Amino acid sequence: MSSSTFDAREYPCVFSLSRFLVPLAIMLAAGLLVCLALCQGAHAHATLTATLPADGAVLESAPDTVALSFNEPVSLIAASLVRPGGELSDLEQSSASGTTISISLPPELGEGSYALSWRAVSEDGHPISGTSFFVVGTASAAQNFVASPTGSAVASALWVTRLAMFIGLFFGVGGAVFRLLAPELPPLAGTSCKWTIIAGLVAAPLVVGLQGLDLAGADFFALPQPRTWLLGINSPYGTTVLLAVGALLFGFGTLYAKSPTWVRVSAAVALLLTGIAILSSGHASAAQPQWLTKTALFLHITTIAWWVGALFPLVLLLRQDRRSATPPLIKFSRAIPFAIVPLVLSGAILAAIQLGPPGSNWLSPYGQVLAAKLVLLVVLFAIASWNRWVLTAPAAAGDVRALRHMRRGIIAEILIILAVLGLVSTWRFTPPPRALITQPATSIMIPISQEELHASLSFSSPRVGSTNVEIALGKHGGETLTPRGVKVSLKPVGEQMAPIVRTAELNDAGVWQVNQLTIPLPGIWSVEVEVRVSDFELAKLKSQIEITP
Amino acid sequence: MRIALTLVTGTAALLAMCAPAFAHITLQTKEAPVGASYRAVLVVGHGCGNEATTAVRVQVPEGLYNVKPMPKAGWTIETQTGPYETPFMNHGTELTEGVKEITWTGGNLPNDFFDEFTFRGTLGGELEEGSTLFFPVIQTCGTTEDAWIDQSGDHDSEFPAPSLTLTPAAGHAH
Repeated sequence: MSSSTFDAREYPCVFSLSRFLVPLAIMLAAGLLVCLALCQGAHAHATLTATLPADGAVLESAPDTVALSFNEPVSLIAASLVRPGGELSDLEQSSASGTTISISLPPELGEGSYALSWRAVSEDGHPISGTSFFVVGTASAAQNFVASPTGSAVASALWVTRLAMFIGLFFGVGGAVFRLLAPELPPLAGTSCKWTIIAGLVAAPLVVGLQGLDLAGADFFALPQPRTWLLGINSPYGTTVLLAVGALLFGFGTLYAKSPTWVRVSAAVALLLTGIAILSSGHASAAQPQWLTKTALFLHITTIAWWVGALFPLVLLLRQDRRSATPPLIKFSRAIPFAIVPLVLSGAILAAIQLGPPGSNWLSPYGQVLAAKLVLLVVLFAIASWNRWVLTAPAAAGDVRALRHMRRGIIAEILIILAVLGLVSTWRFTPPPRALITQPATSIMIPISQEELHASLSFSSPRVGSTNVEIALGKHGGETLTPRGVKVSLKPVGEQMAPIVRTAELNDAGVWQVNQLTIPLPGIWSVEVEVRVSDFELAKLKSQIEITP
Repeated sequence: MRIALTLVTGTAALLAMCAPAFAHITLQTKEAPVGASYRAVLVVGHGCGNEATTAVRVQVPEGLYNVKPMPKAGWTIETQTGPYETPFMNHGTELTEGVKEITWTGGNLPNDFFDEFTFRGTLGGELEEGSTLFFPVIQTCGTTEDAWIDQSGDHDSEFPAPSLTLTPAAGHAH
């Protein structure tokens, strides 16, 4: 008897302990993974001591191997070679002896400049990486380093699939979200939402593959290669596509949800995911100050989706009988100013950040696309205002002429919005002036938060190949700045390549410069300038540059 | 309650696992309470590449007052004093200036060995708990040097400055 009493007391305690221990164990395991992921990069301590052939060497014939020497034993994780055409190929380690790694190169390398990107791990588990260059043939050959531009067919296909994904998000998901105002969508609107969402879901994976092709500068034949897809999914667009798929699926949920609560929840999640999806890539979300551009872009996207999605179901509702059309129409016309104000405001903020102060920037291809978009928007808002303030009241009261005008107006709005979406999709190919340095001596100003420092970088040629970089530094107060040292590091955005780090030298004119910096790939590159302001003070300035083929 | 306990224990374990490794120049004690005295031990685990360390120079952050280095055999210690931005009350006496920089020179620490460079000070009571104090260090190895002065907190920075996280003052109930 006494033993049974003992058991009864003991069991709950054992159970609660295990309930405490199991989540703890899971947390520890998860934490360990997080640490491995986060902490790894921080403690790099093996350093590269020599490269053979030396970094930047000009060789008569192609070497068989590249040897990397370190100050302590390391093992190679990955290495790849960027050929003069901009094509990437993976390399294998041929031998390793203590602190030196040899990487074998493919046979019969032609003349031109090559970049070898490597990533290794030291014995204490800390990864390190770097890129070194060599030239086969004459040095002048390096100057005419030509990369194959992305085929225009790939670019067009990318544009079409991106447009399809946008239409799925704005018309499909946005249309489904209209169920918040009109729980019973007109049958045709329901069907069109369904099919635009499906089209978006089909286009989404294609965007990943085509993005991979575009990044690698490859043609359609490289589409089946896993590398293409890896490049695409690892680029910022990979995240966008994953989130967009999520938004599209929740759009489906909204379309078919039975209870009003589920419609609301699902619509909110779908809109949220749409906003975050577009936020996670693109030129706008990379601009400074990040909190402002990100908030503005998020507002911009979600209000567009909400507004645009409502249009097609509205047209169809207006064709139906007046009784079912009136309540959603009135709700919509009450709500629309609350969507338009943040939409226009956020759009203005984004345009101001991207274009910068008035000047030649405004005439760039990016500026032209924006101007075309603005013209369309003026027409669009004129029609929308006409609908809202002139036609809504008589239409709600049953005026047949007003209803007919309103339907036509909304159809015109839909066509204009499609044109705007088409224009916006070309922004993938026309980066904003902020990100673009097209002319020698065109400079970008990078504001920095902790110090009142500014830098203007000028690239002698923002193209693939050899370039000279000049860095003019100053303090906003106009005080003179005499840095102890300046380092420039460049890394292609969304690529697996290690950063190219170069130390700048101060020339006689008092300008810091890096000469003969070789940029092996076209695309958007992140640029970081590390300024050692004084002995103990380091400032980092970050920006991006578009490298053209 | 159980959930809270799990979270607290889990987070503590997580932080313990995340403690920076030995490869950088770091502070041995990475957390200290506001208003308490602090013994700073800089751990130099390696040279600059393969070169032996010949000098170590550290900048004392604003907020660490009344700093005194510990003598170190084989090394010459020099300090540089300067004014404090906020004066410090040391047992009723107002201190307006103190050690802002310490330099250890004349030694030779081969890459294969490690060593510690110690000093002591008092953390100001006005410091914000949860904030980070950086102790930028310049490691000289003959003619070359590594500047451990990156205060950006980027987890991939090559030369992060040693840092100290401030915890709530002792006896400060939460």
